[in-house]
Amino acid sequence: MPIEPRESVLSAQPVVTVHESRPTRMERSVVMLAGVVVALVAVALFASTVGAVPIGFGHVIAIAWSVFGAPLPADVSAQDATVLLSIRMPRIGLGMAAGAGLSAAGAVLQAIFRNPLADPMLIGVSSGAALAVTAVIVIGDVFVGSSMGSTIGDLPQMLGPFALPLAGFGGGLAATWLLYRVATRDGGTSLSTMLLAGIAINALAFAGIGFMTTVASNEQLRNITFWSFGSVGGARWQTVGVVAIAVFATTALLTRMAPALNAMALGELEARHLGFATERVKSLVIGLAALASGFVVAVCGVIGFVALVAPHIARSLFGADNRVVIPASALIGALLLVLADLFGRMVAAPAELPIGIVTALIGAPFFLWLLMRRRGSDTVA
Amino acid sequence: MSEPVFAVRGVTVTRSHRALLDDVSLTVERGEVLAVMGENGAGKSTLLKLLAGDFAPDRGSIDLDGRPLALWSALDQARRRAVLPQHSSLVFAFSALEVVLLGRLPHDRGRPGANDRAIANEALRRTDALALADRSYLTLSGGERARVMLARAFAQVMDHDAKTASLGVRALLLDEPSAALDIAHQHAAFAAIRALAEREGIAVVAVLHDANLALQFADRAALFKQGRLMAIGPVDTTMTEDVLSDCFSIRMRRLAHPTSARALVVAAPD
Repeated sequence: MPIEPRESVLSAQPVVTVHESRPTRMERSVVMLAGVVVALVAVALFASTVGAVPIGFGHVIAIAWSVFGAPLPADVSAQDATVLLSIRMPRIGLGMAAGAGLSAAGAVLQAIFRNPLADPMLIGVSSGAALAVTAVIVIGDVFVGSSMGSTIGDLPQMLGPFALPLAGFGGGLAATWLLYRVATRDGGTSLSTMLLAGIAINALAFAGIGFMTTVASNEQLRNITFWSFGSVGGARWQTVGVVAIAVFATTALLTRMAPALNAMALGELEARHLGFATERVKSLVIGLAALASGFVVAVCGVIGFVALVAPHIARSLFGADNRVVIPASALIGALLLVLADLFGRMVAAPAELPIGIVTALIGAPFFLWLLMRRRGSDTVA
Repeated sequence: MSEPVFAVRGVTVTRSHRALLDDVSLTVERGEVLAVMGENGAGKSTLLKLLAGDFAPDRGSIDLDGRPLALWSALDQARRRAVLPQHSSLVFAFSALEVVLLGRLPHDRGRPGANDRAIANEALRRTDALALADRSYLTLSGGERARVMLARAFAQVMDHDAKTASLGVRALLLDEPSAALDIAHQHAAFAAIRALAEREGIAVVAVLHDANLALQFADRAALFKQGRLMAIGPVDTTMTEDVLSDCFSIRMRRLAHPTSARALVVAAPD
């Protein structure tokens, strides 16, 4: 009879009981996620006090409270309230929504590309979205403007607050799909092919944006320039609402798909052997990631690297389980962008550094560091 | 006699004018270990892929539990049969236990309960990988990874729960499960595979290169050459010197095992 060399030794120890008496990884993760939420609230409150008009911590609380009907204390000026409620808070809210949306999209793109270096900006998703948004601003005006007269000439205005986000979604979707077709073979993505394809898509998109700028009017040009930097300044509650709802919904849906994404970590074929309809999972994930990043790009422009850094931090804190990684990436991304915007507002005050420049300053070296650590292993799959 | 787990009838697969499998018919029964052997390119992996439902044959039919494989949904297949590919890659730092729990996904759909955790731990124990449970898969050696992946395949078809045992047939498809293992772990792994087949009635189809492992642990052997099934039957009577020599294109000799009734084979070119 065949012998089982070590089984008897192992089974003598109550190892299984030890495993189950400790808090599970999931329980620990929930506690740590709560910690991230607390940090996010604290940073957002601090960011609310900082600006050209400093507002004390107590006043921030009092003004925020007044929104829910509480009377404004006598020592709080109406100007402070306006600055906080109409300028600073929407800005912080947009930073949170943008960071969460980009990072959740980054986390799931990394999962389906099976490549922790996938980033919506690096692989061209963001620039695809930016091109589509630019096209809607310029071409929409040219066509509708000339044929229908100046009163209702502004197509984006006509379609309401969803026009540009939807354009961003479409552009992001097209770019992601193209990249997926080019860079993925047999369920794995070669790192170099993915990055090179991203360079090509970026070049194509920026050429398109450049072309649009030559036919754009002065006012359009100002709007377009804004995308090349990425900014959460000038946020209005309406746009914050649109982006926040889209981001929250996509993050929730993507988190529900986490088990399928976990299975995909083994490979596409393996995921199918585990009972998942991999083609449908991929299409849905690509669609939702393009939705989240497209909406963010339409409102904030191209903000790079946060979608690379946040999931990386999430995985080093929480492990690889996408059920935790996706919401954790969203929360950490929100925290990072609020911090980045705060930094951009403080470092050169009273001038402001656009948030996209801050994230590139911090994120690009981080990306290079990741690349150096991985040197030698080209293919990830 | 109940339905065979797999019934393969007259299956042919042709790719670029070459027959990868040529008119192959065989059955796999409950609780047996079938060793699939042959040279490189003989059609072993193609057979495994067909049984896994990766693609349909150009001609012929494959039934799972008496019903055409194509009629089973991916999920219903996954609840009954696990596939261990030759190579598995993982990019992210899942722990070994999390990897094994992935095998429970067809049953728990991402919400592992106490039963799923118990099965995952038991699967790790059976492949001698329980001590690795909390380690990141990425830090494991090749052999340790292979044991964890084998445990994942085990966990997908193992069941202590009468509720799902009523699902009926269960099958394990293994493509060279022992290639990365040291000799002691090769034997331990096959002892565990054998025990799984015997105790739980799981049908095991294992692609193997080591004829001695087949002789020692398999019930039957299916020997392939150039896409044709050249012999199938009980290992001892089927794996004769002549058949093995023909199958592997090298002179093979059988020797008496010093302590067991099982024969040994060696390659002994003239």
